[in-house]
Parts: sequence; structure tokens; C-alpha cells
Amino acid sequence: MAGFAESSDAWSKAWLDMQKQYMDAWLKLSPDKMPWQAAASPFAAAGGNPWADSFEQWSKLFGQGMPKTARDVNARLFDLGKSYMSMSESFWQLLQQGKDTAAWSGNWQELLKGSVAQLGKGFDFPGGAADPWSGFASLWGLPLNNWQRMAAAFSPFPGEMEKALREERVPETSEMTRLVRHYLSVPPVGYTREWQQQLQDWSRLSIEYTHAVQDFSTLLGKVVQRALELFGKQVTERSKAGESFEGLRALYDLWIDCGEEAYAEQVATPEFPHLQAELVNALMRMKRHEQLIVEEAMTALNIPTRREMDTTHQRVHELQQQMRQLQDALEDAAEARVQTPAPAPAPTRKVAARKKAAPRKAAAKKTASTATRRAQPKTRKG
Amino acid sequence: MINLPLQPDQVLKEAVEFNRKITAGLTSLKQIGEVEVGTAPKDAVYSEDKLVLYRYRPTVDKPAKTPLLIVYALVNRPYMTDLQEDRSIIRNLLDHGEDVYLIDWGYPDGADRFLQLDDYINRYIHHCVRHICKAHGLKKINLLGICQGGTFSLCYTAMRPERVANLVTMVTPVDFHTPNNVLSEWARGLDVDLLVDTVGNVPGELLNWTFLSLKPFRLTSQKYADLADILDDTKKLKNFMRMEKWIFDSPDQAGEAFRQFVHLFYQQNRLVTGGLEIGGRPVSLGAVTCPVLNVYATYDHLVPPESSKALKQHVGTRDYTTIEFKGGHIGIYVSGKAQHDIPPAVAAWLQERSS
Repeated sequence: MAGFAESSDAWSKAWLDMQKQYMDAWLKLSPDKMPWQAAASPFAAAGGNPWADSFEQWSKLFGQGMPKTARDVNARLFDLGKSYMSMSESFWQLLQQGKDTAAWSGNWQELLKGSVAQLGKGFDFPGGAADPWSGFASLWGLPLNNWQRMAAAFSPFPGEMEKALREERVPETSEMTRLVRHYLSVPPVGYTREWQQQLQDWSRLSIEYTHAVQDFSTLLGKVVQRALELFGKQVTERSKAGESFEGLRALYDLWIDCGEEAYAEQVATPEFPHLQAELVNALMRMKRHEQLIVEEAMTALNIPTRREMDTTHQRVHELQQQMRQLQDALEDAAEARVQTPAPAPAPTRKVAARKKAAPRKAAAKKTASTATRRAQPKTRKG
Repeated sequence: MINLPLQPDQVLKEAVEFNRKITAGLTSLKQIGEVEVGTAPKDAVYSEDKLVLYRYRPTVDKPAKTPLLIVYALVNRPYMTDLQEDRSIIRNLLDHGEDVYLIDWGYPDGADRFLQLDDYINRYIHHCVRHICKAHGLKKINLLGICQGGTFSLCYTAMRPERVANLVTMVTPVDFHTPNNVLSEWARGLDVDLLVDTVGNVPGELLNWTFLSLKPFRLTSQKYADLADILDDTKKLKNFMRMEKWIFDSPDQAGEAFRQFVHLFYQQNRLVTGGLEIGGRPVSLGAVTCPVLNVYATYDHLVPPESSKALKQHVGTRDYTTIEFKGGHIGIYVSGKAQHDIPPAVAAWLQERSS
């Protein structure tokens, strides 16, 4: 595995050589002014993964003027492209070793196993758990990032800040957590005690949410580890049987299959739906508390609040329901008048009214009894 | 001889090819423009709040005397039934002689936060049914409920049996507690009161995340890898973009209706365990006595087939038919096989029962 890290430069160089062949074509695709066109080479300033960096610039520029749906797809394609390239790089490094190293002529399957374990190390992070959002597992990071993006809409933190907090996480059992919890449990006193209490409660809820994210991340880390295990096993078995893969895409598809299989295994545990639901619940508890704080502040400033809007909407809805019931009653009565034959002329208004009411009562009774009879279990045709 | 599963040069070559496809394909994406959905000619015939009732223009000289009202789910948009010219359940139903109406629920906003299931079922659906009955001089019409719209249609039929001549349910959840129902497992742990009290209307984004979480690797990664292969094919790309638009075109859910649906159906499973009431009216599947056609998909990951098939044990009708479609929840609307099989079968079943 010694050459694993060092080969990164070799990958970049090889990739760069081939990439350059496509540069002219790219420039032809977008003949408009490109801010980086004046530079000697877009890759010169890029550093890191040349494909990702240059593609990002190109994609941003090219995305302008795209229809909205196409822009979203463009962004997703770009995310996938980065992950796909990351995967390609990892496999290339692995296979390049196999091509050049004598060690592979022995038991290469063992080497593969070690390499897969090495790939898994890409997502170790503080606390001993795994961050499924990073490294080789970034293909898995795509779906998981959806939560981050979705939650950012509810959270007071920008999405990147949430990510930073996740990376700097402190385990629930740590001394730091204990100290913070202790501090937050100190009863506030004095003229601003209520305000202090609100902030303490919010801090506690935000810690709870961070831990809910961590717990879910850890669970997903298990999915990634299991997926790698399945993947390594499958590749080894196929290779032992003398089978080869049609190409990189076949490996990628296998990887996805292993991911779904590992995910399905985890989803079937009672822990998974619990932690997934708790992720939403913890976010909502924190958000709800923020709303209360904001409501109080807005009320103090005599600014209308969501609570007032809700009260108004609820009252409008209740009025609408009452009106609807009256309208429906009128419509039903009108329909009944159309469907019921007019009675013969009666001698007095009083008697006529009684007679008119009678058939409707009878009809209603009949309908009710029919409905009751129909509700009994019956043998089916089908 | 080293038996490598893949040659490194091949990996590099493929990576480059993948890159080429994406970069070239983005030109197609830029040029593709906005994709059109829901192209079958139709007329808005009734509206109430944000709801619009459409009547599709019949394509045969003498359409069926009893119209068919399609009740779609509140989740996602109903144009899935008429996604494009050659993938349209509605066009196929029209071509097979049906007179088709469709409810478009619209996009609820903050002012709709207190809409309840009672509003959706006993008001909106009922008013649409009543409008159609009046327009055609009929006492009852045919209903076709899809997914959650199927559950609504069952409830409506149970409460207003005199209004429904025949009921068709497609990929409709009935028993919400069957095994391997991942969505239900998640919903059961959800504090839906806290959620609705906090966000009001439930954001479509949250629902998207939930649905993507059911098969995350296929739906958020592999799908786009497949896209790279069709980027240079305008027709296929447009098909993909239409589907993509539909998947992420998720209206927010009216808060109170969402709260009730999760409580009564996902958490308490009242449709099969009993005791369901909507707007103070009891709802019993035993009261559904009109002919019922239940269409379900064998590989449905959103509504497991067992959940739909449970209808047979609870519905009161003596005329109960099922169609098993070998496909998934989405394929049943848009796949070529579904287009070929489902609408003609539904139309034939309805015509056999037309009086």
C-alpha cells in the first residue's frame, strides 16, 4: 500500500494528459468569454483534482441561461462527475499497482482486500466513527448530502456550518459534552432570567440535534463499511472465478448494488427508522424553540407574527367550513327537490308541509338501512 | 499471469469517455429548453380555492356515458398521468372511449395550512363529483384514485356510496402496517404534531428527501450515471427531464391534512383496523359496495403490493377485481408495458360494468 498515496500525482498527470485532448472541444462548446481563458492553462491554477476544478468553472459558466430543471440536473451531474472521477482515481491507483508491482503476482486478492480497507479509511474521523460524507465514499455522500441541503432550509445555520459542526463533533459521552450540559443546567437568575433560560434551552436542543445528526451519520457509516465489505467480496469472488469486469462502469454498478444491499440491511433494523425519524424530530424541536424566541422578540416590537397569521387562517378556515356546510345543505335540498316528484295539491299549507317532509324521512331511513345491510361481509365475485 | 479484473488504462479511458459525454451533453442540456408536460387537450371546468377540475377533450365520437374522475395524490403533480404524448394514461383512456376528468390540487400555501382531510375528501372531491354529475345529468360517476388519491377515493366511496358507480384504485395504500413498508416505519416514529406545529405546511423538499432515502444510491447517483449515456440523444434526454421535473415538482402539503393522514393512516392504520372518521363521518371499507378494480405494482417500493392487496379482505363489494402489474410505482404510469396494458384493461373493466 506504500505506493497508494504517492500515485496520486501519477493519476493527476495521466489524467491531465488525456484531459487536455478535450480542452479544445470544451472551448468550442462555449465560445463566449470565459474568465479563465486568458490564463496559460486552466489546470495551472487548479491544483487538486484538475478535472473537478476545471469542470466546476466551466459548468458554472455554462450553466448560465440554462432552464431551471436543466440547471438542477447540471448540478447533480457535476456532483456525480466528481464522485465518479474520485472512484476512477481510486481504482486506477489500485490497478496501476497491480500492473507494476511484483507483489500482485502472488495473492492479489489479499492486496485488493487491503486496498478496499484502505479506501474505507477515507472516512474515519474524530471519535472513532465514520463520516460517510467524505473520501472514497463520496458516491454515498450524494444521497446523504440531500439531508444536509434539506435541513439547511430549516436550520439557522448555513449548510456548510452544519457540516463544519458535524466534522468538529464531540461525542455524547465526552468530558466536553458533560461540561457544556452542566453549564446549561445552571439555573439562570436576575432580571433577564427568562431570556437566559430560552437561550439555554435552545443550546440544549441544538446539541441534541447535532447528536441526532451524528447518530444517523454513524449508522450510515456502517452502511458504507458494509457496502465496501460486500464490494470487496464480490470483486474477489469474481476474480477468483476468472471473471473480469467489462469496464469501470460495471464496477460502479456493482458498487451501487452493494450500497443498496447494505442500506437495505440497515433499514430493516429497528434502529434505522428510529434514528431517521429522530433526525427530523430533533431538528423540529430546535426549530420550534427558535420560533418561540423570535415570536417573543417580534411581539415586543409590535411586529405581526406567524402565530397571529395562523390564528387568522384558522378562523377563516372555520368560517369557510361553516359556509360550505350551509351551501352543501342547500345543494342537497335542491337536488332532493328535483328528484322527488311534486306532491298533489293539498288543501292547506300546514298539511302539505307535513306530507312533503314524510317521503324524505322515509327515503333517508331506507338509505341508512341499505347502507347497513351492504356493510355486512359478502362473498366476492373476484 | 496476473488476473486483474480490469486494466488501469481501461479505467482511464472510460473516465475520459465519461467526462466527454458529460461535457458534450451539457450542451444538449442548455439547448433543450423547458420540457412540456401534460399535453393532452383539456378544459378547466370547475375551480375552488387552488383546486382546478379539468375535462379532457374526448378523442372518440361517442365516449362512455359515465365519466371517469381521476383523483391523484397530494404528493407530486397529477401530470404524471399525462407526462408526454406517448406516455399518457389519460390519452390512452380517452382513446379507449373514456370521458376523463382530473383533479389538479394546485400548490398549497400558508393560507391553506388548516385544510383537513375533510376538506379534501368531503368538500373538494365531493364538489367535483357533484359538478360532473350535474353536467352529465347523472347520479353517480366512476372514480380512479391513484396512490394517496386512491386512499381518498376509497374514503369518499365509503362515505358517499350513492355517488360512485365503479371505483378503480391504482398503487393505493390500504394496510399501512404490512411488513417491509419502509415509509410507514419511518412515519410511525415521526412526531407529526411537532412537525406540523413547527413548519405549518410540510415542505415538498422533506418529502423528496424521504422518497429518495428509500433507494438513495440508485435514485441520487446511478440514475445520473445512466443519464450520461443518453445526453446526446435529445428524445431520451427530454424524457429524462420530464421525469426529473415531475419527481422534484413536489407541492408542500397542507399541514393539518398531513397531520391527519400520518396519524390516522400511517400510525394508527385506521382504514383496516377500524374507527376511521373524516369530518365526523365514519369511514368503513365495508361500505364500499360498488364494483372495485384494484391495480397494484409488484415492485412498488413506495406502496408495497401487500399494502394494496389488503383491500380484498376489507372492502364490502362482491365485484372485486385485481390487476397485477410487474413493475414499480413510477413504471405503472409511464412504462411502455403499462401504457400498453393498464388503460385498455381499465377501460374494458369499466365498459363491462356500464349500464
